[in-house]
Amino acid sequence: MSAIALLMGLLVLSYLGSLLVGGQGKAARGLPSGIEYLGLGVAVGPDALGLVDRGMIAEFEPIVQVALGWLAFVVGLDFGRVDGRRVRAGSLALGVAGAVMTGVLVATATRAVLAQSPVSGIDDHAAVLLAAGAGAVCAETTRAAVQWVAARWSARGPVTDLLVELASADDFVPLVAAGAIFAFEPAAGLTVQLPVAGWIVAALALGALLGTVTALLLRGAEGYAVWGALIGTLLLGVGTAVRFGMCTIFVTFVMGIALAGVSPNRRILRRMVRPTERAVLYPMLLLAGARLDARQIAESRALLSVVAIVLLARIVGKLATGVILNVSVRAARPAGPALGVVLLASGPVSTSCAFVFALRFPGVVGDTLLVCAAGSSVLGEIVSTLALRRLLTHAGEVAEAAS
Amino acid sequence: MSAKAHGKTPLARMMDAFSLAMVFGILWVATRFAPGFRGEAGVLGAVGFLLLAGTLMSELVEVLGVPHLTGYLLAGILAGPHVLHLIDHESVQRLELVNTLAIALIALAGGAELRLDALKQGAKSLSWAMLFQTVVVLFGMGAVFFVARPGFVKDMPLQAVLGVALLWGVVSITRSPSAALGVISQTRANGPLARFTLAFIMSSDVVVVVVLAAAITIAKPLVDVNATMSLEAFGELGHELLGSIAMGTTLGLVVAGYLKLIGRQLLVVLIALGYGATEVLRYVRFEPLLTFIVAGFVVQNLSAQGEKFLHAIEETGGVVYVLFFAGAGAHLNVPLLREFWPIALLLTGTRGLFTFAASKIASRVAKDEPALRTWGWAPLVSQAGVALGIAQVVARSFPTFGPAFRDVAIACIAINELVGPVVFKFALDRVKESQQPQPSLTDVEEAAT
Repeated sequence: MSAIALLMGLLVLSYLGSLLVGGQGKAARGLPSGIEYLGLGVAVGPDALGLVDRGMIAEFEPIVQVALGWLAFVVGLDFGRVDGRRVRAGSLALGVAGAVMTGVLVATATRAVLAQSPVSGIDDHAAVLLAAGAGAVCAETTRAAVQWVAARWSARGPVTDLLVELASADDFVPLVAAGAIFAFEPAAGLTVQLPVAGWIVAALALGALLGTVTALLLRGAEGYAVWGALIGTLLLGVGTAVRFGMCTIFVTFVMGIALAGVSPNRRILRRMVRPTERAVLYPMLLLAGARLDARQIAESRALLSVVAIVLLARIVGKLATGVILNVSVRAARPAGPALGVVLLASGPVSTSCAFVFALRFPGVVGDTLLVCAAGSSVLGEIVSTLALRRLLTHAGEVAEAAS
Repeated sequence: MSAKAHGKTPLARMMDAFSLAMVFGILWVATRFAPGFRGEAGVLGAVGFLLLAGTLMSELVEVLGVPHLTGYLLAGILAGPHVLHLIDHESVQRLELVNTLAIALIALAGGAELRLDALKQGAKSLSWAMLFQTVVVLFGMGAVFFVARPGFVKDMPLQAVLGVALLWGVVSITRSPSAALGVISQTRANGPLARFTLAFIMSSDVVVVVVLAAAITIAKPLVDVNATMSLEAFGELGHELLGSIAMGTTLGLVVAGYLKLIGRQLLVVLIALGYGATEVLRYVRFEPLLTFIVAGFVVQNLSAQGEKFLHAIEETGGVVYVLFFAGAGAHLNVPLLREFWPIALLLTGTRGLFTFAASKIASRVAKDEPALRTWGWAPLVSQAGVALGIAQVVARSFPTFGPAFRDVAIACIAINELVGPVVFKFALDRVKESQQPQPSLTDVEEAAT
């Protein structure tokens, strides 16, 4: 397959994605994690049908970086809001705390396993990187799952609201964690040396500056000039971040937050960019699937056990978060003990996070994290979606006729 | 292109200047502290920069009354590899990928702007203008070149110089559809001059392709005594032209059908057309520019979807044009211009005079209306991609003098690329065909609240 043919294929996916925007029924089409597109990517990738080879995937790397940046930008622009309303401060804090707890647990467990039984090809430095990356990748719960269930079975009520808010708030953790982890590994060949905190501040400043410049550009902008300003700042941000080895999704996430903070046009901007999410997401997931290289993991029992521990630690972390929520939040009580299972839902943000790691740290670290993200999505899809429906039915938030 | 042109306060201009400084600053820091960076992602930064800097520069130069297009070019020139070195040669080369899409959109829009009834009305003007602009400029500029004899033809025999002069004449009759469309799109011009410009420039591309084939056939035996005249090129040309028209018609009907039956997600469809169809056309050796012009023409004139199609292209093209022209600015070979400026100035100056004279004669013969009689020459000064393409063809076809010929051509095109759009916008403003800009995002937001 030529690069143009692949581009056409990605455009078809993007076209399909853009058709699935708007309308309750449409929001519930496909799977919430988008795992089917990841699977399609694996199928057409070099390890299966071989329609897309590794060279071609590498050629598409800049497009992937932009797609990932755009998704994080959309998350940033809408951060702290769900369905047009503000996320309550309590939900925001709980969502972030739950994700931090899970992430730390996953990272600690992974580091401990790698320290106990070292894996060939992963030295101490890479082990820390892998553990921290796993923590970032496995921290969040996807809001797409809750919104998918709510749209499909017309769920409405305090538990649904709480879950959407928690899942929306915890996007913050993987994106910021990835930004912090990348700060330990600036690009080679730079003529400037900064401490870790310096790189974090630099990435923050870049995102904030670009968000502000975008807001200035959008004053008085019309039609396509708005898209020009958004795309221009995004590309400049992604290009600069890659150049310095910063985390692209962190920079664009901050850019989104900054733009939403300073632009008087934030509402109209949100309305404009929201429909683009799926159009960008599906091609990205396909390329992530094609990029997924599980050969090393399949050949190494030690690496397999690392992936298993990562997933297990995520399950423990999310179950514990569910218990804490049950105890501390009144609105969560009708959900019962199954709340933690519901929080296992994983999706685009996790996959995006794993993908930026795979691009920045190609090889065993990146591949393992991408496999962990895929595994987490599959696990969430199997366990969490149906549990969520049962939970909401049990809580009386899904109408009988719909259920 | 992107703001309320005449309503900007000094504070807003200062904010634009501040933003431009920030954008330049970010790229400067990136190139200074990460100097050895090479790779695909480097192009991303360059694309983002050109998009932003081009837009901002166009806002700032608007005060001088020059078109946005000139601002895009200036941003590219400043940041490019010949001035501030913020964007390297490699990145500039890779930007050519954007050109594929830009050229497709420009040609589609150009074709869709050609309305059959307007063409019928202006057929007389168009025919006379085409005849005089082609004959007068072709032979006039050929003669000037022959007399001026730039350095690289000095030692050639007389008949060889005659052949090269003929080729120079062909370069001189090329115009820039992209520049014309860029200025018309910014000013939203509507009137006799804008209509004439679109019709003339789009159809002149076909004439140029035919004249080029003829000129190369004639010039070959003049330049190389061992070469013989072969009409084989005309056979190939006929195949290419007919094939392109047939393909364009089919494509146009498919697009019209899509617009009527589905009519959504036109951005994705246009990108797919720009890259996918261009690839197929190159494979079957048809001319993408002509194919897309015909496709746009078919959508406009054989269906009721013309306006919808034009609107979609304008939405997509706005962003692509900024990149296209800013990229062209970065590509502009400033050292060559510095080296060849005396001869380039002579050749561009006389080309302008011949274009002016041809326009006056044609207008008198065709009894054109006053706007065309006075300003009909103004849109024909700009040169860009098509002229560069022809210079490249000459460089490939005549390896002995071709590269030097191309270098002088590039220097001339650079001048016309900078001066042409300014002259054209001035003309549109003078005949009052420029219109007010659309409401901005802020206006929409205010209206919503």
